[in-house]
Amino acid sequence: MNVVGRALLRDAGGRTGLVLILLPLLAVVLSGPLAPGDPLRVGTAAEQLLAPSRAHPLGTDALGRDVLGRLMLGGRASLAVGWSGVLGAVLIGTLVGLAAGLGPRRLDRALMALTDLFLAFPRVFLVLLLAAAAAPSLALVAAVIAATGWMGVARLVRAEALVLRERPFVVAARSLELPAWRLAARHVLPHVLPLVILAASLRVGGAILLESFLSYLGLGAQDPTVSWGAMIEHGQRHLADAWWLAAFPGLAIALTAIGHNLLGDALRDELDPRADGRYGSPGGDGA
Amino acid sequence: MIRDLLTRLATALLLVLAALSLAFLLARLAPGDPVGMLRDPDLDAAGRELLRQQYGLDRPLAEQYVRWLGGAVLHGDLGRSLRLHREVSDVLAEAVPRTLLLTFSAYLVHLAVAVPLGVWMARRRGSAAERAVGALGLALNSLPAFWLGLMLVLIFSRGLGWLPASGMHSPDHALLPWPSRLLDTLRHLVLPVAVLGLATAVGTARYVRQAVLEVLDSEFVTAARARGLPERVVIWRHALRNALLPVVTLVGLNLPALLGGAVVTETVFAWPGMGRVAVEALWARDYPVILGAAGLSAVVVVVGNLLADLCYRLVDPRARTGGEGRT
Repeated sequence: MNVVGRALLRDAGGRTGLVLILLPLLAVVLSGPLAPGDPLRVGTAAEQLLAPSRAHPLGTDALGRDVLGRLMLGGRASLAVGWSGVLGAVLIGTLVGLAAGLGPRRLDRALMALTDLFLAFPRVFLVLLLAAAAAPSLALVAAVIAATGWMGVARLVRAEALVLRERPFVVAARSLELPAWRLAARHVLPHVLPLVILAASLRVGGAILLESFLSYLGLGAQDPTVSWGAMIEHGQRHLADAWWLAAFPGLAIALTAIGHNLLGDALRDELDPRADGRYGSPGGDGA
Repeated sequence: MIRDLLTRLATALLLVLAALSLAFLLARLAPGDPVGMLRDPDLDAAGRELLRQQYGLDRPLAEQYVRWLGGAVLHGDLGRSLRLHREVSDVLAEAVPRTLLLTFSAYLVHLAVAVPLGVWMARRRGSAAERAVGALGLALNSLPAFWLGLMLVLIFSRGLGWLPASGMHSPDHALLPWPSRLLDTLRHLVLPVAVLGLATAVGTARYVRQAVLEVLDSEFVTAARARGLPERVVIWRHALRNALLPVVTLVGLNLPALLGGAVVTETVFAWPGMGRVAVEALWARDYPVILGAAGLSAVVVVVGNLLADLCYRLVDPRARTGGEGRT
């Protein structure tokens, strides 16, 4: 990984991506001591819907709360949901892919049929169906992102496992009659891992966008939890008289997603020799 | 080949059925039901119970499912919307053309921008301008589409007052003479199409660039160049034709993404198409409409995938062998 890390720092896109990810991360960590005032404290009437000024660099919202402070706090939800959602999706996808690629043929068929079934809907539609099935919360959004994002990873891992299962070292390991999980975990997984990490990194940007859309629809973070998508939803009601309410959270989402996508692209240059430069295969599937 | 095709058709049919069952189950998992969502102050608990009986919502889930599926498959009857008090097929028949208008316009704009831009990127490969456009594409792909829509409304509707913010028609649409009516619809189309078609066009241009570059390496291009044809003719007549086929297949049949994009765009711009109908039905727990929309989108996606598969076979002889696909 050291080699990869150094290569990332050499690549201009990778460097920019890292900065764009570290920036909100730093803001989130420091949101306690740095935030100007309490971002949850409701202000007086005189403090409502103030345009950006020195006291409130990004203005205040309809309840007189400081937008910059809320932005720093809201990043916590967006990053946590995006990352954990993708982690879940990649875990499910890897398990399904390994089982399909290494297991008996019947299992392979059943799992691939399940994958096709989940791919038979536009993802947004499936997400909405699932998200409406329980009380809205951020944990639900992460679960929904995981439950609707694993199919691409599963196909990728299966294809790789099908190639690996015929390789001599796997055939040799199989002839030792190791338990199936051990064969998968010790002999196949290490060779699939770079691909999986790559697939994950290419998907985080899309997951963050999806979280913001669900929160914007009111299916994600509920007051008093702050998230960027929910902030945009609040801002939409004051689009005419307070543009800063919707504009800045969206900008924060965009920069964070750009950072993740840049890092994913740079990582692909390093890990996937098949891809020529910045373009081509195992892409993410955004919202 | 024929046998393979039949297997595929049967699989597609099973897939649609399974998708419908999944949609039915998920819709029923959601708390609340359509009767509970009715906001009528005159309706008391007994009245609601009566309504549930009338709609058959008090029956066992399995019975409701079989009844709905039987009606849909045997008689083409999708049931009645519990909220709109109209046939689901009428609701869908009204919404689908509107979504088609939106997505088809977006698709045209998308290709009209992506193809020339991709060719330009291939010819100027590695230049500062090309790298800048590539970076712009990545940035545009990372924007939340719904937020982009809001910002366009903020600038072009609220700020400059050039374009309408939402909907498909102005209130006085029906009273206008037809040229103005057309113009009115077109003006309503501009912002949603920009979000749905334009924002992602640079991303597709990167695929076009890649495909053109791959074709430019092949021998027939070298031969065309050796015959002294101008570079313009080599690229537009010889290279692009071969490069474009996979790109058009990729973009044109990537229906899930297009439909998903329509859901987001229609929500933001209040465009009265399929996406909006589906989202509103979801809020109201209007089961027949949810299922109708889910079924339709599943059919479209599965048929689209089938067509894409067939297209690939026609284009790429290597994909023709091995129907099992376990290689």
